[in-house]
Amino acid sequence: MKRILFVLAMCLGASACVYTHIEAKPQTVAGAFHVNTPVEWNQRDQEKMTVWTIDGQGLQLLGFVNGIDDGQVLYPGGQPDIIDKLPKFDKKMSLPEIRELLLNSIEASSLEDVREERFEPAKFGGEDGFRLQYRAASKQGLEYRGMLVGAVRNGKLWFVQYAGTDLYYYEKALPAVEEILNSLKFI
Amino acid sequence: MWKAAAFVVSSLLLGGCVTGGSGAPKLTADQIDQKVESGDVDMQTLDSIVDTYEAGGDVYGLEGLEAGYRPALTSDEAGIWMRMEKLESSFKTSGGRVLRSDINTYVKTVVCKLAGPFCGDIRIYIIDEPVPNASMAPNGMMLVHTGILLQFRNESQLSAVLGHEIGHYLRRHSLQRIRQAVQIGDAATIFGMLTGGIGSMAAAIFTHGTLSAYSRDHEREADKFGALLLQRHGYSIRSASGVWDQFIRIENAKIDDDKEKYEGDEDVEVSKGGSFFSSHPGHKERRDTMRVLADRIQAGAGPYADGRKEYWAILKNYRLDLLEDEVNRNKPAQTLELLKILAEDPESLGELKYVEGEVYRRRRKDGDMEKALARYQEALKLDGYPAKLHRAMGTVLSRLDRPTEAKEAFQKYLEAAPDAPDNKLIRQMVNIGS
Repeated sequence: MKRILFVLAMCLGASACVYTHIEAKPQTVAGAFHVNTPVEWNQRDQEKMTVWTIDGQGLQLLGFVNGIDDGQVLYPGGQPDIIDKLPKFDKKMSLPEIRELLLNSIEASSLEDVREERFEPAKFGGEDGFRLQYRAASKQGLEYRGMLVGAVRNGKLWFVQYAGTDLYYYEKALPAVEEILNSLKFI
Repeated sequence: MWKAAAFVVSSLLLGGCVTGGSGAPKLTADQIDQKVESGDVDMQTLDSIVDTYEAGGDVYGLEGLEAGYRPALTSDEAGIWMRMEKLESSFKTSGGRVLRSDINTYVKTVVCKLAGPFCGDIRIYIIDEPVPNASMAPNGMMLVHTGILLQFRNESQLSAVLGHEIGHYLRRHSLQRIRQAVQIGDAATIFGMLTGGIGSMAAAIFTHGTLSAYSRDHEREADKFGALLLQRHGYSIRSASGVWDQFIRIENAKIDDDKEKYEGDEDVEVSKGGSFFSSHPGHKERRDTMRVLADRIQAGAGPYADGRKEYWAILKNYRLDLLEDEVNRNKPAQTLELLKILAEDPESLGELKYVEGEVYRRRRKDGDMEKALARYQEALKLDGYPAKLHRAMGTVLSRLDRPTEAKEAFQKYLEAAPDAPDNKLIRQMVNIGS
């Protein structure tokens, strides 16, 4: 009994355990977007990012970011030593500068050997934005694929990031992610 | 009291430093120091030390280490090795490991040249990490960060650091450190033993850099070893000593970076230190020691090689990537000083000037865009600038509100790099601007 209580207490204390179920239907996410998801997800709220996953965050992760302010980093919820290395968003950035910001932020956050595959113009919630596609490896050497789609709106950087293992899990949720991105609208 | 106890224990553990074994030179590390400093060292003495070492003997008299050495299974050392091997397996598959064969083969060749019969005992992992560092684990796992490769100007400088790390391995300094910690009742050690045995403690310490932080005497001994190996293999010790001048210059620049970072924070005292160097004797002392050794050992003899061409032949394939990683560290004063150092060699100066422009563009202080533009314009007159210079120039010109010139620069980028991953975006920017 004591053990069960201990595990329960640990789960309540550690945000890693706090997942909620997301049904396959229109949803409001991160207080910023309306999307329509064709599949079910598990949701976890992190600082500045709401994360969805089907099989676990280490396997595939869809993150919704609610507006990064001028002078802020893209991933404020990381360890202090990592945050210290992250470049900061500047609302005057041109798209080539945003490309650089994204790649450097991904590299500094947790992944190794980040390789840009494509960076191109794209619509995001009806706004003119960008789409970055990349590959990277985890510190343990596992190969990942990822994409980051977003736009600058009202001086803030809004984006959705999707990443998953190159082997199986990225491809598994990709059609659903594309449908979610196509349906995305700002609140 | 603790100091006295530590000293007694250290003396007992370092008893292995006293020369033993038939045929080995009867010299301790301290005696070698005295001989070098008094000028009482000649080529023959040094050669005989290195010859003894290459024959598998104990160079300074530490017994028990031979090529192919593995500790007895029942020893504390075996536990440490086991944990290190586990740690090493994570580096083997790490996403941060540089796998390209040319640079791995090159560094391995230099290590093998220096380590002689111990070549097979040392495994090198080049890690894509801009913080300049190199380290050696007790089981022969050597880690070399790309950041330190960027700071070398020639093979003799690389060899000085690799020889230093090999010295740590051959003299089993990290094992000595661990045993010392156990003997003096170091809290972390005791905790490590309680929670997972000495081996896990060693792994934890190693990953946190404490184990790499050998005592200063160990560092001096390893430096001496490095110099002996340079001599043995015909490298210029004086040229290698220049690496300490370079480190001094970059460390002085670190103060400027820290001042900027902690401006207005009264709780922070800005000082030198960090990474590879914090536990080491001062750079000046190390440079001076190397120069003394160069004068004593290599005066009037030679010629000795610095291996600059050999080093550049490999580094040229990587330098731009490494420089960009360096810029990403966001230490502009240190990067600018490093660029000045590298520009003392004639190769690919356009690349260096481009990166200088990048430092200013990324720093974005008042007047930095103008400085960046000036550096890009200088780079265009030099060899070796990359196609992406045009994109950077277009970005800066946009910031300076000079759209027509920006468009021309982006157009040149597309011409120079038609298959670039961002070509659709740049093409759109050019077309919108027309």
